[in-house]
Amino acid sequence: MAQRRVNVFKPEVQGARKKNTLERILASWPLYLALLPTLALIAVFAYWPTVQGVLESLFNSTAQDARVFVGFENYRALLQDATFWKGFVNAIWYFLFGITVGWAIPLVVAELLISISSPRLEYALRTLLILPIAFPAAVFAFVWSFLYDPNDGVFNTFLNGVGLGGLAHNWLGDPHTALGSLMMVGFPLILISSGAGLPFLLILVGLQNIPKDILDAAAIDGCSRMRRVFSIDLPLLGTQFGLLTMLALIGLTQAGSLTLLLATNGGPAFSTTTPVVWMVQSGISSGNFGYGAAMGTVLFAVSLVLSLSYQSLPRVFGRLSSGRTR
Amino acid sequence: MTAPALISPKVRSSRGWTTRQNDVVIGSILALVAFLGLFPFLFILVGSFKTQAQLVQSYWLPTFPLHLENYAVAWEQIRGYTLNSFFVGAVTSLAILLLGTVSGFVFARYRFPGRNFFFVSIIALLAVPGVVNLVPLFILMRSLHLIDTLWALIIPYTVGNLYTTVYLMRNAITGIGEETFEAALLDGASGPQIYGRIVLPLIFPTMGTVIITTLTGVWNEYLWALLVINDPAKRTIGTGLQFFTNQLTTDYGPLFAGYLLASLPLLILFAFASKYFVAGLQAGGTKL
Repeated sequence: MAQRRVNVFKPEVQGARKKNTLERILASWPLYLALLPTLALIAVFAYWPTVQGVLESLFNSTAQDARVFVGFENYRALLQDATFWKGFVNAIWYFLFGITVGWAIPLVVAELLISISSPRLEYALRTLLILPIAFPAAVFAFVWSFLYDPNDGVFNTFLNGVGLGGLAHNWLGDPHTALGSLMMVGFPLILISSGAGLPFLLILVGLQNIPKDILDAAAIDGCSRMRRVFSIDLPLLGTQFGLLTMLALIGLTQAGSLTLLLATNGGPAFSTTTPVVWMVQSGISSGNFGYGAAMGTVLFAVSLVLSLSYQSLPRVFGRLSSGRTR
Repeated sequence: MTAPALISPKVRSSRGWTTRQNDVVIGSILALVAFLGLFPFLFILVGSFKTQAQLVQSYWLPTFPLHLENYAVAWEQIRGYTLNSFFVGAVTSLAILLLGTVSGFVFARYRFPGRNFFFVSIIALLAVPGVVNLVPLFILMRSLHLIDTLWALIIPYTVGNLYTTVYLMRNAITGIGEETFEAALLDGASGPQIYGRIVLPLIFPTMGTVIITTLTGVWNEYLWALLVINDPAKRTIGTGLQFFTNQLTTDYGPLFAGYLLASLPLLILFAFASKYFVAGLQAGGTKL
């Protein structure tokens, strides 16, 4: 993020530093013209909706022409909206699943993959392992919804075939298994609910970038393969896990597409709903835009708090540990 | 690529296995993992050639004759969705590349009043999750009478991918060696000339990454399309496949064929540009 200082700009622009600000602005008009389309698009379709969302949340706008200013009434209603909070609880389950199973499987697979000595075998396996990434998310979802089908699905047919028919299930139709079934879409490696393969790619790149001299030094010290995972690999994957944590936290407020694809109404019995799903259902589909805008604003605040507190964590820990050494 | 010169296949690892035994054991485990991941798609592939009767009669294994007409039936239905997604993806990619490279060039190579302010105001949007704007953006699209047009998809997709692109392009252009620009300036090249003849050819790899991120994003997007497109003729892949699935609930052959046809463009992209594909996914990951 640090701005790289470039010393030699166009000579006339550099010389222009002696002019006053107005002259410099006038002299730079071609640059503003070049930036205008980008800035205009962003102002109209990114900044303005963000502001308008906050304003809209103060209105009761069931019909566009009958908007009534209601102050914080939407937010008060939201606090008592059990479905919205149920959605948050489900999103937290997604998060917990993502940072445990969603990281453990990719880590084990990536460690195994870099342990293969034949480059050709490694390349072939890596390609086959990440190939499912190339399928569109919607296809992924619908194919898995077929696997879960209670009558013709692969899981139930298999269970019946091997004599375990008692375990056959209406996977997406039973409130007890629906959320778990959604989380497992893409098992084992390309779990759609937790980054759709991104954890694997990031961990693999991280492992491949560990400097060879560190590994050589460890080998001379008699470091075992298992020991290497915990003493070298995991500490050196800090950047990757930091990014993945950040993404998982943001996912808390973003999750919802999978639910809308596979369990249309966040059902059964709201067991798979998320805040976004509920925002779409009760805020847009029902036409109550003010209420939907209030949800959007709350989600924005939550994600802002999460990412800010996440970014200040290292500083807090740094201060704690430096205090201890003193 | 690099031959393991010092380690011959006979050297034993700590477990007492030769490296070859090691490769066989680990390779088998990983092959099993890869098979599990690909199995649903293999099943779909095999099933896409069957009639309903053949599926009942032989659920797991291929049956003959192969019913290629399933693909014709499916293509008839999803052709419109695929073409819409192509159109949206092409226009979005072109717009993003044009806007992103020009802005990236200006931010990377010029100093002018407001440069930092404008750049930060673009980058700051990386921290705003897209769902926040769902409701107000819907209202905006409705008041612009864009609901049920492909522009209701193209404009938000373009804006949503623009922040990352400007950032990536500025970094790529800043990374071009200073002496390249000095030489061009000495030869009397103007700004637009430097942009067209020097910058664009040198940032092809970044452009590849951006194009692939954009295309996969457009192909995968579902939530927003569900909200703004009701007209059956305007459906894209995500919403189209949902309609298609509900239409063919128990006619699995054509259904599976349709899923594979809808996947084909991304699979081809993956086959020919898997390097950019992976880089694009990772660039997408940094897009907070």
